[in-house]
Amino acid sequence: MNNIKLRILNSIIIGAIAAIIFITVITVVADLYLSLKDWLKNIFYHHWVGKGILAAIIFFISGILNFISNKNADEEKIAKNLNILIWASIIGSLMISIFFILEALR
Amino acid sequence: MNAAKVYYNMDLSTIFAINKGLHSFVAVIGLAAAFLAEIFYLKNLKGLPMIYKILRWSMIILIFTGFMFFVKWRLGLGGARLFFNGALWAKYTIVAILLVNAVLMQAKKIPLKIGAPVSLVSWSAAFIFGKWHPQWLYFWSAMAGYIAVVIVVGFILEAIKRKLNYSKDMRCP
Amino acid sequence: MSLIIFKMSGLLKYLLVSHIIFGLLGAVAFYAALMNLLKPIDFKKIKFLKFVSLTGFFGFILSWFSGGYYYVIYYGGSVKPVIKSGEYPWIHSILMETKEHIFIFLPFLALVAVAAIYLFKENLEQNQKIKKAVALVCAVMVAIGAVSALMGLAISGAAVN
Repeated sequence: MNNIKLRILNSIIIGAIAAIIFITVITVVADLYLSLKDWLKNIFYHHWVGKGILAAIIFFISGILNFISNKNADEEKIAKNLNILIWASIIGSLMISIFFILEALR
Repeated sequence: MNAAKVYYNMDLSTIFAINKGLHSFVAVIGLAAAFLAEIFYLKNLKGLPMIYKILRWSMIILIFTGFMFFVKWRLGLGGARLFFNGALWAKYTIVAILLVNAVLMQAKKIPLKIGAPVSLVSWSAAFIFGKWHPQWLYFWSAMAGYIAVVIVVGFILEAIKRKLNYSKDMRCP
Repeated sequence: MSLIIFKMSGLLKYLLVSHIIFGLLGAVAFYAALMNLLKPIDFKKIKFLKFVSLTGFFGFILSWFSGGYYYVIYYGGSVKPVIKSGEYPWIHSILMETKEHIFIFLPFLALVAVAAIYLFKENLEQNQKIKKAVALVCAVMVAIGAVSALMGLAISGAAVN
């Protein structure tokens, strides 16, 4: 498979990892610091809409930056990044659910 | 009268009635296919890929039509029992077990002697609980019964295989 | 109960139903992709994998938008207060809050799976590590989709009763 395709795929994976980490962090932080939630609401009409839009922006920016800076992508790297993505989604989901459980118990 | 006009004139109750009929019909097909798959496999008959195809499509249709029952309830058109019934929750759990079982069999993580009885009993139990779900039947009682039947059917299938002279435990085709 | 249902306009009802159907479509499509990634891949299978992965991606996107509109315009003002003042307020605080955030993972995961299948094509079979990882990404999507669906059922239960 040629290098350009590998770089594109690698960038998409990196973008997805960044977006998932961002969603996890902003979910927790916005609930702990209501001023951030209010800011999201003021700019984007609703905090959840803001999180989605910002996650998409982070995805694109991280992907593009990775594509520009990483001239060599190989299959080993892609396999490794895919595994990081899988773990990021699992840990992110668990962190979000545990956070809301703890918040509800408070 | 074209299809669009027919659809426009249909009220929601009719759509949900058709959905119920389709769900029941495909459940019968899926159940029959599950039994046939076992028979065809044991007797090494041709046509197994077609039966697996029928099983897959039946499951897809049943998932969609099954969720439509919840949509009907969510839109306030009745069916609260869907949510507050132990036997129906056992049915939903068994469907989830069936789907996970299919993945594990495909990935060759479990042998056929476990996968086959789980598949057969799951299709049967889902069908039975779909039709018969009395309020007195609790979730855990239904699940305990299901697990017991899986174990019994597992032993029966192994005995049948031995009688048909299967020399080794064969994996999912 | 009737008050919530009757306040829902026709558009909101269609959006809610679309959200459920498209979400299911996404989960079922990636389940099909997962099952096929567990088998050897050839040219014929790749065509099917391309079709289901793209279907799954658009399913999640459409579910995101239809559910998102319903959530932003209607849920917050009409459904959330009913759940929070009802018997099971934790269904909003825990289940809905979790669901609305983990759902956003799905379009990004789906895009990764689509990209991997479209860019690698049959070459996926030559690299078993990547093929296995893509299968696991599909499995994660199916799991998140299934959990979201169950949470949705519970939320509907709290809203209707």
